[in-house]
Amino acid sequence: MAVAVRVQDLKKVYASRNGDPVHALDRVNLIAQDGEFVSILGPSGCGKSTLLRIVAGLIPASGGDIFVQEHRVKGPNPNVGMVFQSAVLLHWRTVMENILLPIEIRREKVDQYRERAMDLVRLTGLEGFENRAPYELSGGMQQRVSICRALITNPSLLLLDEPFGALDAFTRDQMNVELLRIWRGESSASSARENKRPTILFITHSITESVFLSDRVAVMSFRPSSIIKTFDIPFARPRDLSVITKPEFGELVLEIRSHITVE
Amino acid sequence: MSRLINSPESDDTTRELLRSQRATEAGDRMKSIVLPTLSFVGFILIWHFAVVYFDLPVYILPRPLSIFPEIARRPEMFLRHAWVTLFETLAGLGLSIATGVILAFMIVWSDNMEKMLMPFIVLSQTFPKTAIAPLMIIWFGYGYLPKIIISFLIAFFPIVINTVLGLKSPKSDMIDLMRSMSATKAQVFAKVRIPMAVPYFFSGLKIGITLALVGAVVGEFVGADSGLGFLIMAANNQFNTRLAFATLFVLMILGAFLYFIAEFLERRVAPWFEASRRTDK
Repeated sequence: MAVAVRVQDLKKVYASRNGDPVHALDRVNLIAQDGEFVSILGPSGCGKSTLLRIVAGLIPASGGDIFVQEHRVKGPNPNVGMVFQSAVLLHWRTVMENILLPIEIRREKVDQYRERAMDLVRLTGLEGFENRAPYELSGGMQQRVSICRALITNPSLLLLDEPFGALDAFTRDQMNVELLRIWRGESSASSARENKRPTILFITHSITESVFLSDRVAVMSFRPSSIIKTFDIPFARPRDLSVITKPEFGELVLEIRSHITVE
Repeated sequence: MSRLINSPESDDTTRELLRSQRATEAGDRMKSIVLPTLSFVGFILIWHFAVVYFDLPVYILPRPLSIFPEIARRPEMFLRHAWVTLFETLAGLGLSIATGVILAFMIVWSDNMEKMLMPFIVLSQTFPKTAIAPLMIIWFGYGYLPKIIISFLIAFFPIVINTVLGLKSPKSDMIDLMRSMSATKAQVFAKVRIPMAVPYFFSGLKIGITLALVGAVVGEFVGADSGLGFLIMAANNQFNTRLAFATLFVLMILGAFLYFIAEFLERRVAPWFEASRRTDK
């Protein structure tokens, strides 16, 4: 299997207000295989988002090497889709127009992507809402729109930065199940178009969420942050919420918790 | 109540609820017309009876209702002067919009531009612009030009500041999202910054409109042979307080008219703003 993301000895140093260096990330090593779902788990302020933004090419690293599909990251990569904690939708556009935004940015013909956009709308359960304005939608539905927008370009890598962190617990559980369904559905529904299931890097501070979703969970330490341990998640797919009640699930969550340090 | 809603009659109950809700809303709408009218009528009454009770001479304070016959006696004169002031105001405002928007774009486009321009713009607001009105007369004479320039100098500031705020209003996540799609700086402006700046621009415009009118009138105070500001000065010199009040009334109508045009345009151009502000999550 090919390697989708390779992070080697990544360092990030900020200058603090009084000029002292702040070591946000120190020798971070991470590998994600093609089509793998990897969660990066850690306490707030441990630099998870910084790591994701460096992989996305939004901010430069201070040291180390980052490769996406064997290409060194030098800046934003059109093969990467991003989803943030807030849906960041454009309020003056309809749901459909929001989903097609990346196509406009690429200056490609929007009409050629309408069908694919409708596929995604159906897949995410947004059917009937494609011509609504984003502010008419609930928080969970807005986040579905932003997932569609990230998927419209068939990215090989999906970066999700606490995408369900702002949702209530019930909606969050539901969105986790949906995300797995969309991720798997993406690959089967589009197999005719020879799309591969995208690799996912998922940032979260919820242990349960990370264990439920991932193939592997990478635990980050507090500053200077690095990945201290990686856990393989053995549960078979497709998973539903009942997996959470298994004793092995609870044991794994406890085991991971013992490795998390706060400040 | 819950028993009713779950029972087969619930349709009727719902209809009844909706009807009473609509009645409440209609009542609220009535209130929003009746209450302001009440306060306005109250103000006029207090004014009127104050004049009668204290037996104020007309050159101190005319009776409020005597203002309207004053206007009706020679409406074409008021119209002529109002036209001049309106022209100066709109010219000053137009100049403010053009300059304000261009400056705002330059400031947000480049950090160096911001460092170069911002202190200058802020400094230009720290001295009272009415103070340079006499200079304007020396430089540009008694015509329309000095009034337009004063009007512009007063009105452009809120337009620049608000448009800058608007162009900078997208949160960092939004900008990161655009950059992650490999959007160019021009695309970030076209797709995100400009649409988001529209409502801010309009709130700047609404402040600017009233200030532009102030600028035109101040310009006319200093030296003019026409315009509503000139008319007020002329009325003052003749102790014709009734004429001064009549002119003030026309100015008020003019200002309100301009303000409502801006508000109307805002609702036409940026309807999403109101709606999204109400339900933003």
